[in-house]
Amino acid sequence: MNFIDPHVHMISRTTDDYEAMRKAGVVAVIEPAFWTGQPRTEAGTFKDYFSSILGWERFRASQFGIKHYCTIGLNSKESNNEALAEEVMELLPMFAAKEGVVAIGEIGYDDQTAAEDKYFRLQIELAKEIDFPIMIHTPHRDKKRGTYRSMDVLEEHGMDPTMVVIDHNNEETVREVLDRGYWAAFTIYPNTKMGNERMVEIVKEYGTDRIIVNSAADWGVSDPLAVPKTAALMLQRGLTENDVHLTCYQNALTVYGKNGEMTEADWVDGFEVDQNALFEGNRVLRGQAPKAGSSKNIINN
Amino acid sequence: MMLKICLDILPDEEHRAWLEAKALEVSTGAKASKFYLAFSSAPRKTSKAPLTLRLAQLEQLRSLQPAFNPATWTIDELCRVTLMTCLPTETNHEVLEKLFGTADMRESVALYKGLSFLENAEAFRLRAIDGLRTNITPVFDAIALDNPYAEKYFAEQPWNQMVLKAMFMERPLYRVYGLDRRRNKTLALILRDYAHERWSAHRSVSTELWRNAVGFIDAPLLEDLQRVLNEGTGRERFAAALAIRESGLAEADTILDKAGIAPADLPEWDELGRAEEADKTLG
Repeated sequence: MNFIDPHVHMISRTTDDYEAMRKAGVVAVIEPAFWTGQPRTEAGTFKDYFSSILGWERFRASQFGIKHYCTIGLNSKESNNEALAEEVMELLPMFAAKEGVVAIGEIGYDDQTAAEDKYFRLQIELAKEIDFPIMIHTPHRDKKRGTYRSMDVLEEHGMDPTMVVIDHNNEETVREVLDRGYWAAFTIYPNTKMGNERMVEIVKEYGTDRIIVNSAADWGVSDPLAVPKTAALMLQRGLTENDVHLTCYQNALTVYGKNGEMTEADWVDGFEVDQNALFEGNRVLRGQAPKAGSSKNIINN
Repeated sequence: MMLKICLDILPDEEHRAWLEAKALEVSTGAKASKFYLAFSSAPRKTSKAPLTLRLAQLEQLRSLQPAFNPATWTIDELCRVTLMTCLPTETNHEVLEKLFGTADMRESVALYKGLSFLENAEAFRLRAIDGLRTNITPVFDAIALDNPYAEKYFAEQPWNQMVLKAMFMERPLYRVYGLDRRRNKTLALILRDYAHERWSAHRSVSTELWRNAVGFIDAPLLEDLQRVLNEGTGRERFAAALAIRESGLAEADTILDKAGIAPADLPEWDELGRAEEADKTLG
């Protein structure tokens, strides 16, 4: 089966991860702009980060037969450095509408401060101006109230809920998110977010409509194979292939395909993989023998 | 001007309406962010299809950009360049310089292709020279090929670097606009050294190299060309003969005669270039 991981920070992952993901059936990934583990102190590092997830990372993924898309946004945590946030907001219009950007995100709340609120709202307006979907990061702490507040603010700005993915849900938030018409994403991430046995139970209880599974794998203890592993567990626990198809592929494609940048045609017939190809004079190989072929057969599966 | 031409070329009513609205915003002092969003959105709001032009449209474009090669342009690129020309010239340098720093590959290509259409094109000379340092072939091509910018604004040193790098990158020199007009002694000497390096490594050199030697053939260079006439392949020999003949050397006729090449058989430089390019495309 083919899978999409619609939330994964590949910039923090290795080429082994790309190989394993492709082997497990991941055909496309979405890399949301987020913080990088340590607060940035200059707008220039944001600029280069955005350029990396649009450029080099996309190229690197393609070398392993995976289509890579991204979202652009100022994350909530770093919104609290207001002087820096102002400069980053100036940068966003230069990146948001570029090819391969499928949404504005991850935006929302972390500590739910006034500064976070300010830049969240400005970015909702940016998404509306260019008619892009939004990926909402919900907070770790005070999660339920932060999630509801995010939706309140989105509604205050007249944002269409069918254009918004509320991410990092759990059993406590999913009902309200679905009832209010949003897409509900779940992050299978050890210790801090969801386990995949809990995920199976959620799909059994709430069905597959507007439910999306992702890994949010990054620089922490996380699993880039969370989506295919959860898919396997779903089948093992009696859910159907169609349930898996919707939650681990199609729903993500439907919502993140809304601005036209991500379409199944990008990968469905395979695309040419040439590991000798260069990106700005660099290639991903460091002494290995290059593989070439279509994206479907580059990794034995 | 460019807006009018572009609107006439766009086949789709919706695309025309989008471009016209954005061009109006950009030309009437909208915030830079409006321009950036429109510039990035062009592929989504118009189309990445190649241009199809009527002859009159091509002539209009060539009146603005004499080297315009429709085969290398797409609809969204033409729209992006049109938007560039709509920026007020008092601010366009600052706005575009920022965009050069954040552009993705296709945006960079459009930016470099667009420079020569700007009223204050000369203000971007250093940017264009810096652009040649890229390793991305499509970006290099956007500056070096089918573009009048370099001939018009580059001093001899960057011009020579561009031609030499084009050789290194195996780009088709016949598409470097103004190549013959910008020939110079220094370039001829640099390229002669380059040929010697290649020969020492038992590699061939592009036949187009010798086009740059016309008018600067001294005794050592003539010796090299004689060597090509004696040892080269068919096309290499033609190139050496052309260089000798066009340099108006007194002994040209004798040399060609001795080499068994009739002047009437000689191709044009552009034909040689096209033949080399076709060979590379085939593989």
